[in-house]
Amino acid sequence: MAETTEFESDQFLKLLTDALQSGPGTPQWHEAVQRLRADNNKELDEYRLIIKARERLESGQEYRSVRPGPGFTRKVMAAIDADIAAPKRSIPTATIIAILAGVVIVGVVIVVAAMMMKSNTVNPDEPPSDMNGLFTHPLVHGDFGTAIGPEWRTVGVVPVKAGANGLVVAPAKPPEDKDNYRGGGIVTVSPIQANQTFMADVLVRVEHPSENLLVQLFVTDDPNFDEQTAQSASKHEVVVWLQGGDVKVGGLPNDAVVSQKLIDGQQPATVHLSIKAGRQFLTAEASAGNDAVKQLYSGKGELASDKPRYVGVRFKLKGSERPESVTVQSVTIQKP
Amino acid sequence: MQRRAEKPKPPLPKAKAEEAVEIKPAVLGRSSDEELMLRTQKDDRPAFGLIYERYSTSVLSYLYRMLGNLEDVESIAQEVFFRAYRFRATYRYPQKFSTWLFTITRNLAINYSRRRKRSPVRNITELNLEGVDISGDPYQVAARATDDLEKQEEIARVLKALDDLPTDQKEVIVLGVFQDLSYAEMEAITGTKAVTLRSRMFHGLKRLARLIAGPLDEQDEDK
Repeated sequence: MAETTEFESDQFLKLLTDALQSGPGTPQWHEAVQRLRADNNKELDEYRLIIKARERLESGQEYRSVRPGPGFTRKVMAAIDADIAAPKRSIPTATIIAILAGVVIVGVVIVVAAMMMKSNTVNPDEPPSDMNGLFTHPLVHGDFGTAIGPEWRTVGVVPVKAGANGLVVAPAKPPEDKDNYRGGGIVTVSPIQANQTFMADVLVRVEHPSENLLVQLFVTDDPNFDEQTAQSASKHEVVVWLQGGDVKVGGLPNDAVVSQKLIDGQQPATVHLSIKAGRQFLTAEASAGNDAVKQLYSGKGELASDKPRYVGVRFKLKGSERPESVTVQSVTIQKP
Repeated sequence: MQRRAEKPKPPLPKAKAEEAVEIKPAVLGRSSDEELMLRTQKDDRPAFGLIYERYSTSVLSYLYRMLGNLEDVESIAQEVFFRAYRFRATYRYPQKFSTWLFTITRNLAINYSRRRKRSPVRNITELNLEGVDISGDPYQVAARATDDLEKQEEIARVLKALDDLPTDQKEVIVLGVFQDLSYAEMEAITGTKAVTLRSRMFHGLKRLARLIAGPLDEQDEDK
């Protein structure tokens, strides 16, 4: 049996099948028959029989040829006329049901998608739900009683050391420039992911409030720090610090700085500074002694929402302030 | 046969065909199938009447040859023309009209064949077709074709054997031989490649050839 592909490549088979379709009396037919007569190939007899069968079919062209009777034509035309005259058909019930079902399915999909998007979208002007709860799971803690732990690294030119009461500025040669702050402190080695809400709290003992020795709690999304100031190189950080008797918050949108009176006069005090940070939202709080906690800021922060964060404490020093006047007794970072 | 005398005229260019909308009824009869269908699309009912006249025998005969029974032929053929009119907007000028119509016919025939396997046979109370008695009997057809008794026998045997062919081979013979459609037209209607259709034509006729005894007649070849 000839393969199908041969009917494309074999010129005689192509001619033969053309002849079989067009039938006796056509040019293709004559050509095929003449080729068959002239050719002596082994399949000649088979092809001749096929030609003969085609001729018999040609003679039987009347076979099952039927014509429409008047009744049939009347029926067809009546059906068409009825269709023309009929008012436009309303949409079938099944179609309506299918459309309604489709609308309902699409609606459900849209609602679910909207809910999912809503749950995934953080409104930067609102605190994340887990920020208002308790922060009970410690991520990092340091009380610096004997040493600065391995979870911290030091930054800046102002040396810091662990002492019996906590982290303090280490004694050093007074700088020649007495008008500008120099910085030094510690920062977490491991980053905290941006989607992790956390609270950083620092407990500070202030022997006497000073303008020359500041202590700052900061959260930054930049792991690189300026050596002189110990500030993150990009200055992309939120900072709560104690300056004199005031507590201040910086690194806020529009370069705003919030300031409140926290402690009074020259009396020693124990102060809590804390920052709660979500992906985009943050709060800054402070309290002195047994006084109520003061919320200094609550709103959108400037930290990148997709970069990991680093928490640190640093001292800013100028002039010849006594280093031991401010002690960081502990730093605690916790998650809800 | 019916189709040989009904070769459609080549379709007019589109712009010219659009102008043909206003032609008189007398001229309507000389319009090509494609022009008539274009007019039908503009709700010209007489134009469709002419199409029906040209194709009703072809459609009925095709269905009768393919299905082999008259029970469904009437209803399917009615449905063919009904659908051709109702869905006239789906015809794309200057596509060959016969190809479009036979595609509808073939699809309906296939659907009816499938349904018929599941439903009981219906009785025909009134036959609205003509020529059934003569053309449905292979021996009568053969007797009308020739006086040669040997040839009559061969013709009858070949015609009877058509029903025993595989459907795909039978279809290409019915479309190509009885309906006189080219391989390209058959390809458009069936969705089967022309080379495959050639193969089916060859092997279908080869099967029929086995029924015929004796050598090829010299004078037959020269027909």
